[in-house]
Parts: sequence; structure tokens; C-alpha cells
Amino acid sequence: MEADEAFCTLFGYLSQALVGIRFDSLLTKVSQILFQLHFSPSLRLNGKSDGVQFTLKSGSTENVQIVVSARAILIENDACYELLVSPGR
Amino acid sequence: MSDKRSVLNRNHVTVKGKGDKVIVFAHGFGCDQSMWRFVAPAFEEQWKIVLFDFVGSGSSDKKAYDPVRYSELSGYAADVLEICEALDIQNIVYVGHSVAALIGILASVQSPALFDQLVLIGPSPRYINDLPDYIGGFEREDIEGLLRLMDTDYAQWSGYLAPIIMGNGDRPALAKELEESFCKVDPEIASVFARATFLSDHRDVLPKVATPTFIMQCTEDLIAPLEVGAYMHQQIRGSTFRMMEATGHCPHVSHPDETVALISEYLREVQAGTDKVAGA
Repeated sequence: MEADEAFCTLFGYLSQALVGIRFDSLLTKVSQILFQLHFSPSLRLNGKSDGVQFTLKSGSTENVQIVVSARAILIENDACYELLVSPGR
Repeated sequence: MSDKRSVLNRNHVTVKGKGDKVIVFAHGFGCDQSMWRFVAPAFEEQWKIVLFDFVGSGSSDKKAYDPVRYSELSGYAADVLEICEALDIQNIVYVGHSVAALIGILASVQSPALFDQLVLIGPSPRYINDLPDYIGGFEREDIEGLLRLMDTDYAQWSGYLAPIIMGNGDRPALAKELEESFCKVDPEIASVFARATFLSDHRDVLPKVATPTFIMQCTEDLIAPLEVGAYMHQQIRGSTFRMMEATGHCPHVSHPDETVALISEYLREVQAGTDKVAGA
């Protein structure tokens, strides 16, 4: 994954530390299960997924509620997913 | 409505394809029959294709939901057998993903004559570790956390269903989009399905499988790790095991070409073996 500065600031990560890892590996185990079983296939099949809540392990190892919306996009003809991540309630 | 018709309606059964021999595709937890849309068409020229939704998923009949029947995987296995009976099909190739792999195993042990082959993608007989004998991949508290979340916060984990749950009758375009979307689940029923899935332990059934079985194991699969696939292979006599290059838990969605190639190759090899025996 590639993360922008806002994501890194918000969740306490260094951008370099996130290069090449999967987004779901930042999630708690419960969230990883739902990400793999429902969110990821739904995103691939529908091309988008909106307002799904997960729990993310922040850079300071705190669990943070987040809300994720995602879109399938093309970058230089490569299929990618753009995730908009915001703090949850 | 006849019993057969009610079964086909209950599970929103779809039949396609030009062949005589039948492949039944069964989706796993968290999605519906649309999961097969990148894979099933590759078989339509030579096979009859059967797709369906488990109750609580996709366009299944939610009114048919029975909390007792569907509190165990055996209830879903009974549905598979009823679908085969309603379509009057037998000698099927059953392709099951994730928990549907175990559902297929249970159905095949109950009615072995119906099944020619089991193709299992990311199967697991038990998700919770039972150390030192068995590594399932999860601690009990992981699964309890999952079930708690699904029971109490179902509008959140399923995301796109939330507007329907909260009521949005004034936004018909949104309702139409949701109706036409893929991977639909009823979050309330899904939490019962999750309980039946993630608390299950069907290790004792594996040695009873008499149907030839092909196990497809993904790389870096959090839900069904390699240890589980290896255990399945060891416990099901004569099973064939293939490691996939695909990562994650849903290769038929993320890596459909490899999934189609491996299933096709396996079925060709089976057919070649059958022809060889017949010609001997």
C-alpha cells in the first residue's frame, strides 16, 4: 500500500514503513476477518464499498475505530483501490 | 408452490451452461453466488452450472430463515442436498469456498452417491486453535470478538447495507443500487451463520469423506492458513492438494484465471483417469 501524509499523521505511521504491506495487515484480527470475507470481495465485485467500520492498530499500538470507503481506480493501466480512511466514532 | 420450486426459490438457484455433467458452485460466508461471476462462465460451454445463495445471502428467501436449522452447518448441508434433489441432479462436481467447502463435505458424507468430486477452496474444519494438536489460525477470544461485533454492530461491519437498515424509503435510487449490488448479506442472519461457521469443529468428519477431493490452498490466507490446508489433506484419504499463487482467502474473486486453470486441470486429469480405466 501507499499512504498519504494525512493518514500517517492521523494514525502515527511513517510512510516508508507502510510501503509494500497490505492495508488489512494494519487491522485487528477481527477486522481482518471481515475485511477478507466481506469487504474485499465486495469491493472487487462492485468496484466500490462505502462506510464500513474497522478497528486499526495505530503506530502507537492503540486500537482506533476507522470508517473506510473505497473505489477501484486505474493508475497507469494498473487496477488499484483507493481507500478513504477516517476516524470512526 | 411445489416443494421443489420452494427449494429453488429459497436458495435463489440459478442454472446455466450447455453440458450434461454438473458443477455446483457454493459461496462462502460474507458473500453470495455473485462471487463466482469471474469463474463459472469459463465452464458453461462444457458443463451445466448450478449457482445458489445460502439463506441470508444474496437473493435468497429471507422468510425461509430458520434459526434452529441454520444454527449448525448441517442445516446448510441439508439445503445443498435438497437443491440437488429439486434439480434432479447427481454425480456432481461440488466446488465449495471456505465454509461451503465443509458444508459440501457434510453433504457428501450424508449422500455420497450424489457427489463425483469435491473441489475445496480455502477449507477449514475448525477455525479455533486446539493446541498442541491443531492450528486453526484463531484464538477463541478472536472469534468471540468477531461474534460480539456482528451481534451488536451489524450495521457497521456490513457497511453498504446500513442505509437500508436505518430506513431510506425516500431514496429509491439507493435502494435500487443496493438491490443490484453483488456480495449481499443480511447482517442479522449472517451473525448466526458466523456462529455456525467459526465455532464449528468438523475434524471428525474428514476421515469419513469417500468422495475424491481436490484442495486448493491460497498463499497468505489468514482465514484458512497453510497448516489447516495441510491438515485437511492429511485427514481426507486420497485427496489432492495444490498450493496457489493467489494470496488472500478469495482466489475466485482476486485471481480467477488461476482458479479456473487449476479446477479445469484437475477435472481434465480426473476425466483422463476415468477414460483410461474405461478403456483398460
